[in-house]
Amino acid sequence: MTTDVRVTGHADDADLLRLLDGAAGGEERAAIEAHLAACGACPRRRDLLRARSARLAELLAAADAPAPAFAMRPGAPRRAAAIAGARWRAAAALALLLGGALAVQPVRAWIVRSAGVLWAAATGKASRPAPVTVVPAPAPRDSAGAVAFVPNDPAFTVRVTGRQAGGTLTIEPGEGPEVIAAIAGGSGPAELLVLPDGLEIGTTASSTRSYRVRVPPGVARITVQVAGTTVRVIRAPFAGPAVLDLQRPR
Amino acid sequence: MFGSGFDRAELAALFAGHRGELYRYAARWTGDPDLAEDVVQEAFVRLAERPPADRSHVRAWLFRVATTVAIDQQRASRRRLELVRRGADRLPMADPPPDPAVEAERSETRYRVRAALAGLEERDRTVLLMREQGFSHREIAAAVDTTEKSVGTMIARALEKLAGRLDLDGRVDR
Repeated sequence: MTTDVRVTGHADDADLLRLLDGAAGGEERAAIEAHLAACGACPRRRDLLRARSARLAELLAAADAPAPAFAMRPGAPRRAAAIAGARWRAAAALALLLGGALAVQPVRAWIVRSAGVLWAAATGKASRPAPVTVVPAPAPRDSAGAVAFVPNDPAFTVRVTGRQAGGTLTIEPGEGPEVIAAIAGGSGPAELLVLPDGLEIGTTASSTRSYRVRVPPGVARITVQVAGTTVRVIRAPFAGPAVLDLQRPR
Repeated sequence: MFGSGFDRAELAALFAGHRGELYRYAARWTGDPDLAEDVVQEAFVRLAERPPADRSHVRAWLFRVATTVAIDQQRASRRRLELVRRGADRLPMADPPPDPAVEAERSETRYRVRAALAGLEERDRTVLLMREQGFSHREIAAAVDTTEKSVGTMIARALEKLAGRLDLDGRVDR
C-alpha cells in the first residue's frame, strides 16, 4: 500500500504517518529517515502532517460532548415505564451513579439490559429479553442521588470497597421490582456501580457518606462485604432495616 | 452467571478504567452523546455476557465492539429518520428535522467537527479515532480487519479530507 521511498524518490503520507506514529520500524524506518535527511520537500510534509494531527486532536477535544451524568435526557425517571410491567425481569446490570470527586469521567447512571431467564424459576415465567431502562434522577456532583436496578438473582452482594471515616450502610425492605440504592448524606467521593451480581459502593477512607439500599420482596439473601470481608449475610424475610457502621475502627 | 468471563472485581476495574475513554470515542464516532451512552453500555454488557476469549487485548476488544454497535445503531437511527422524512408531507404535525443552523449556533465547533467526521467512511473514521485514543497501527489493523500498512493509508486519507473541511492548516505557513 505504502510507497517504497527507494523506488519513487519520495515518502508518501502513509509512510510519514507510520513514522510519526511509531509504526515503522527497522529497515522501513531507516529508509524513511534517510530519505527525510536528503529530501527538501518530505520533511515539510511530515511537519504539516504532525501539525494537522495536533490541530485535529485539539478540535476533537474542544468538540467533545459534556459528561453525560450532567446532561441526562429530560424527564429522566423512565423508571415508571419499567415498573409498569410489574414483573421481575432478569437483567445484567452495569449501572453507575457518581457523587463527589471520584466522578472523573462519569458516564451517567445507566442501566441494564435483560439477560435471560434467571427469574424463570422463581416466577414460573420465562423472562422476555426486553431492555429494562431505569434512569435515576440526575445526580449533581455533590448531592446525593439514587440508582435503581432489577437484580439478576435472588441472592446478591452489596460490596463496599473500603472502610470510611464515618457513615453507615442501611439495608431496608422495599417494594416494587427494583433495588434502589442511594447516597444519603455525608460528604466525600462515592460511586455506586451495579454489576451483574449486585451493587458495588466505591469509596475512599476520607468519605463520610451514608448509603441506603432498599431491597424488593423476593430477594432471598444479601451478602454485605466491606473492604473484602463479608460482614453480614441478611436472609429473607427481612424484619426491618439493618444498619451497618462503615467507620474504620480507631 | 458469568463464570467463564470476568469476575465482579475485574469487570468493575475494566469499567472504571475504560468507560470514560470509550464514551469519548463513541461520542466522537456517532456525533450523538445519547447514542454514545447506549454504545458504551452495550459494549460493557457484551463484555459481561460474552467476554472475548483472548483477555490480553480487552481494551482493543471494547473499542471494536463499541464501533460495531455504533455502526448498527447509527444505521438503525438513520432508517428511522428516513421514515420520518418520507412521511413528512403526510404528517403535517411532525417535528421538523433538526436544523443544522440551530445546532451550529449552539456550538459551531462541535457541529463542524461532527459534520466533518460524519463525512468520512466508517472505516476511516474508526481508524482515525482509534489512533486518537492512542492505539497502535497494529491494534487498529486488527480491529478493522485490515493490514497494518493499510492503516497508514486510511489515516492519511482521513486526515487529508479533514484538513480541508476543518481548516487544519490554518496555523501553518504554507
